[in-house]
Amino acid sequence: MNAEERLSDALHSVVGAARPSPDLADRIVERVSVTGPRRVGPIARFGLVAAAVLALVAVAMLPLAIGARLNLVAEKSHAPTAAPTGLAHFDRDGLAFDYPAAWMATTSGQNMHYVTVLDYIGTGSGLATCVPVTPGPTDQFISGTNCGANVSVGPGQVVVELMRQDGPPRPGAINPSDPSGLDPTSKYVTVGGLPAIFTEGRSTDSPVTLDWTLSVPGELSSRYQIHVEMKAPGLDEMRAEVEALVASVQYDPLIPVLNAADGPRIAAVGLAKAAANDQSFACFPKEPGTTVSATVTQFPGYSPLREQLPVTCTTQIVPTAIGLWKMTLTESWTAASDRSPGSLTTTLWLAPDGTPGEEDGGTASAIPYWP
Amino acid sequence: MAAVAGNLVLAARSGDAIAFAALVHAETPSAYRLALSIVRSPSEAEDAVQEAFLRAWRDIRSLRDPDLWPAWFRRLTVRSALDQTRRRPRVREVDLDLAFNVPGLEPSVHPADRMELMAGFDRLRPDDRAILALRFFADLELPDAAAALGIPLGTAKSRLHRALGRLRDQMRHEP
Repeated sequence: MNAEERLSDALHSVVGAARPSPDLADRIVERVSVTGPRRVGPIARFGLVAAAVLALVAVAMLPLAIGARLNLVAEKSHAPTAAPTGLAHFDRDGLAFDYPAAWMATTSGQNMHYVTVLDYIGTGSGLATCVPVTPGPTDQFISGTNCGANVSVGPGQVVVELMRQDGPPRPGAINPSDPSGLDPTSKYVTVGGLPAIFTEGRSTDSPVTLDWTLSVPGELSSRYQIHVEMKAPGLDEMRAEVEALVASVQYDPLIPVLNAADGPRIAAVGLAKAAANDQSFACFPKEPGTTVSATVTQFPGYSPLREQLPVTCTTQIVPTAIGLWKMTLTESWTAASDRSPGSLTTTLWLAPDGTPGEEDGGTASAIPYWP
Repeated sequence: MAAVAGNLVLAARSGDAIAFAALVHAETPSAYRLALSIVRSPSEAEDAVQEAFLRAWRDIRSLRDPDLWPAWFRRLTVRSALDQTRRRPRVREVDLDLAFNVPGLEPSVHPADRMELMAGFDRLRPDDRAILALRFFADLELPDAAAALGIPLGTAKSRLHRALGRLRDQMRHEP
């Protein structure tokens, strides 16, 4: 046995037998779960159940997700606040609107794996529940929670289910100029002054369904969902009431109004703050629309390059309807003997005061000298 | 299995914390052993693994090809482990006796020789331990070891050569 084989043998024997603390993975999961523990809920409308098996296995790995905050049946009825016009007013979790005072409101607040059922309102009923799941002898998970949101509508009844989805998945801003963001039964609309998606489902023997997916001001990873189910007779009247509800939607607090003329100042603030935390933002010019040359050793969100790379850096900034600034940062490089030309575009979202928030990487080019 | 891991990476890349949690559970033992081979301290190895996963969660959106996850995450682990060694010198806590007394493990080398070899390995610089661990513990070919260290292949070759030489020196000077 030569020296290399002896070393390999020793390393495999000594290090290969080592085991981390049994709770290490759980501690890591706890640290990366910056949004706090969530629970698994089969709400097919959001497509979350598509990964049911994965979720079940994952839940087995996340016993910490089942905690004291588990609310087995979160349902509490309350009388709506009557408005002078015969309407009641809803204002919760940043979403406000008016609805017929004759409708019943049922508070839920049930948190189901990134989806929170806020309320049910209407003449029918709705219920959101979460119950613990006890594994059987052949199950491959330790513990779990099964959540469900059920709507019950009888003839001539309507139920509006109000939900808020806080990513993941991370849908990004609703962009009406992007037709790929729609399925064939949907269309872009405007609700409360912000882009939204409307989807109508019809069949002969099941409730008519209407769905509005709304932006959440200042949030890229969140959406409001207004899901409506109603059954004949009286469909036209109920639909008119629902459409009046949607037309009255306002966001609370109101959407910040951004002035494009402030763009250069906000870009300078945002880039200074971003570069203070990450030097890879230092190459971008603080004046939008200008280009500077620089040599970089790292791209935003990437690990360091193996070699220095000469690039040109540009900055663009635009206000968006959801009250965030969208700053587009591009680094371009030319061809050399060991690399092809290309560019990398990074999107940095800024709060109204220029504070950097979420960051999107995106490129059509291979990154030279990386990884 | 690879397809499942690829799906988890894809889901995690889109921000799915549950999928990332599954990756954490799947990768933690091997990442820990790789980190341990470099830092030689169980607590520092755990810190390194934790740091590697935090970096992975932060940067996973930059990982365009999910098939590159193993190499990408290995590199984060190595980098975090080396950062640990630079951060603070600590008393090492490896329990060699415990590691040697593994049931069913048939030693092909006398335990005393193995102990001596590992003692010499422990005295190497972290960079030397890293290249040796990647080559002889993670069993990577040199191009992959170079990628994990973020160094050119030529540098990896010379570093491996020098590390082996220094290990031999350590063995010769062992009291």
